[in-house]
Formats: sequence, structure tokens, C-alpha cells
Amino acid sequence: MKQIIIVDDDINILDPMTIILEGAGYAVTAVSNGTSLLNREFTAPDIFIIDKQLSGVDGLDVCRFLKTQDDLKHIPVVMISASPNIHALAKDAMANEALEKPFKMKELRDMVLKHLGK
Amino acid sequence: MKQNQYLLASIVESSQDSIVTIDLNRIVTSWNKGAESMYGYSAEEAIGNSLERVMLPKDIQDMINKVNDIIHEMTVPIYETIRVHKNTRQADLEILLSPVRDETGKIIGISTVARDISVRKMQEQQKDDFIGVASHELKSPVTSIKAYTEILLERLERSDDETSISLARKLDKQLDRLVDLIRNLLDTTKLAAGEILLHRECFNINSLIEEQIEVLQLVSDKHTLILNTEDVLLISADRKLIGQVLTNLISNAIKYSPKGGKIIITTSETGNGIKVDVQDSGIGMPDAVREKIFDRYFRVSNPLTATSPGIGLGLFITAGIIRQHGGTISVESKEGAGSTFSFTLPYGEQHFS
Repeated sequence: MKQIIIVDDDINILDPMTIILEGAGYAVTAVSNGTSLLNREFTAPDIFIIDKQLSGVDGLDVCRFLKTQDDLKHIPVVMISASPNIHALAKDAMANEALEKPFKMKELRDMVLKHLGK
Repeated sequence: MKQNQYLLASIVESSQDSIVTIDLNRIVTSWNKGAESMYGYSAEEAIGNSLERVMLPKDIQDMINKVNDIIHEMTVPIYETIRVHKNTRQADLEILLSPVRDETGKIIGISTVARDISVRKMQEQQKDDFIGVASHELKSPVTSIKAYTEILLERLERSDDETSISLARKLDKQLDRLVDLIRNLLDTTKLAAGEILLHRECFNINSLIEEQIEVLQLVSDKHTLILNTEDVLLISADRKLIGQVLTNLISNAIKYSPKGGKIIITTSETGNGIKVDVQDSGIGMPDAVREKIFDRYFRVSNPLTATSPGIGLGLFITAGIIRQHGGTISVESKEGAGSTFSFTLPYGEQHFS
């Protein structure tokens, strides 16, 4: 089963995203803070989904960090944010994709599907 | 006559607005008390000198053009600009230019009446900031509600509980409206602050229109959407934003032709760019409405449309996007006979042909 790590400090976003992606047949690990990623306290997944606004750390910095790690930089990163500039910001942080809130869950699912397949 | 002149002079002198006359070379010929306090120069310092010293260098050419328009008997609409006080402080002003004539009717100068609108500008800014922050903050809870609704809907669709499915679909649809509203509010504040950034790419406008037609045709089976051209018209523009413009114009055409009919979208080349017309045969609008149609928060108060949702931001945003691209937008309309909205877009910097 393909593994997804979602990082979002807003449980009300984290929860439905987990339900949707688990429903689509993926194994989801929901993480509520970005520091655990910076400390590498995780098993490498097949894709990361990271909210830009995290408590204590900027999601974009988490993305940048992941993209500097030789063993992780090939793993796709989807940035999500309410900021209308998220596409440009995500590109700048070397993220593979970006989704601006509010987005449809289908968009999220299609995006994950594109990178991981079933 | 004497009495009359005295009265006029007294009105000008005591006005809080700055009332200044200039000759055709933009040299100041009169300067009231309002001008003294607005710009910090006494009448003595001002008269005989150019008006340009209270202007920002970037605005001078615009002023020259406006003066020329007046000399050529054209009317210059009231406009907003920034002027500079003697102490270098800048103020937002609203300016009305009108011709000054001699006894024979010949234009010998121009009167410029300026009103300080800094307070109004600041309030507009605060309002925009508030709307911006509020709608930004709404995005996260709305994303969450929308997500849960979609989950609920998908689960229900696997059951045979038709009533619940129908209710959940309505909920989902209303949420889409809320999402659109939030987007519109945010776009408006971004437009007002000049913060809409264009992500230009080269694309064929006709394929974008075909995509829009495909989606919007589903909205109504009373209307037939027709694209009246087959050519490939390449432009360099923000595809997403131009898509938003087309959605808005075509949806309006549908909304304001309640009896149905053809909606014809025509594209053509203008020489330095392209032109798109969206023509309906709907209820149209009177001239008084037509003049204000691109204003912010303007809504047609018409019993036919009183039930149409919206807060009057769509065309304001549409016009803002077109202008940001360096294009123009206009509308021709006749009450009861329909409207044609037209916009032009320059080919854009990256046009190679």
C-alpha cells in the first residue's frame, strides 16, 4: 500500500483529508507539527502533503528541507495553503505541486493519484 | 453683474476645495485659499509658475493629455490622483477639470477643482484590509466543511437514500457558492490594492472559449452557446484569469436572458491583439445602468433579476483583470434586445508570429 504523510496543524483539515485518501486506498500518517519532519522522525512515504501554515515552522521550509535530503528529495511534495500565491511560493520551495484552499477533495485525490497511481 | 461676480469670487475664495485656474501652458493664473492650504504655496508663490510642481513626475504626461483633451472640447471625467504639498507630504485628491472661456467662447485656460479624499481613501483601504483578512480566514473552515460534505455525499451516493443524497447535493452546491463569494471578495481586495499578479502563458483563446462553453452549456438547456470562429488565436495572458473573465461574461449572458436563446461568442484580430464579443438576446439594460456596470458593488435593480445571486463584484473583477492585461472592456446594450460585452487583449510580450 502506498504511504502518504500529511502535515497540518488544523485537525479540521487533517481529518477529512485522511478519510478521503484512506478511502482511496492509501495508508495515511497524519502529523500535526512540522518539527517532527525536520527531526526526521518518520519513515519515508511515497508522497508528502504539507500545509504552508504550521505552528512553529513554515511548511515551505519543511519542504525545502526535504528537498535537500539526498534520500528524500525524489519524494513528491504537495503544498496546500489559503494563500493565493501558493503556486509561486511552492515552486520556489521546490515543491512538486500546490493546492490553494478551498480545493475540492477530488483535486487532491487526482493529484495524489497522478503521482502514486492506485 | 457686479454683484454676481462678487458672489462667485466669494464662493471660490471661501471654498475648502482647491480651485485653481491655469492657462493653456499649465501656468497658474489664479489660486484660492483652499489651494493655499492644500498645497502649502501662497497665491503669490503659485501664480505665474507651473502647476507641475505639486504633481508627481509620473503624472505630468497624463495631465498634459487631459489638458489637450479639454482644448479639443472633450470632457474629462473626474479622476483621482496624488499631489504633493510644499512640505513634500502627499495627498489623494479627486480632480475635476473644466474649460475657462473668454467672452467669445474661446478656451483660454482650464479650471481645476481638487478635493482631498485622503480620509475616504484610508477608509477604503481599511475596509479592503478587513475584507481581505476576513475572507482569507474563512478559507480554512470552508475547506473543511466542503471536504466533510464531499465525504458525506460520496457515502450517501453508495446508498439508495435519495432524499439524503438530494439534501447533501444542495448543501454541496451552496458551499460552492460560498467558495465563489469568498474568491470574489479576495480578488476584489487584491485588485484594489493592485496585487493581482499575472502568470502569462501562450495559448489559443478559442480553445479556452471552447472549454468554457463545454462546462457552461451544462448550466442551461434553454441556451445555445456558439463560438463564432475556427481560427487559432494565440495570445500571451494569464489563462486562469482570462478563463474567469469568460466564465463571468458567459454566465451573465445566461443569467440576463431568462427566456433562453443563442449566446454568440465571436473572436477576431484587432491588429495588435484580439477582441472577444459575448452577445446575448436577453433583457439588455438602459444607458444609466450601462455606464455604471463595471463599478464596484453595482447591481442592476430590476425585478427580473432581483432573485439573481451576487453582490455586484463580478464585472468589477472582470474589468480589473482585462485592464491589468492592458486590454479594454465595453458593453453595447439595448433594453429588451440584449447586450454585447466586448473585451480586447494585446497579444502580450511573448507573442511570436
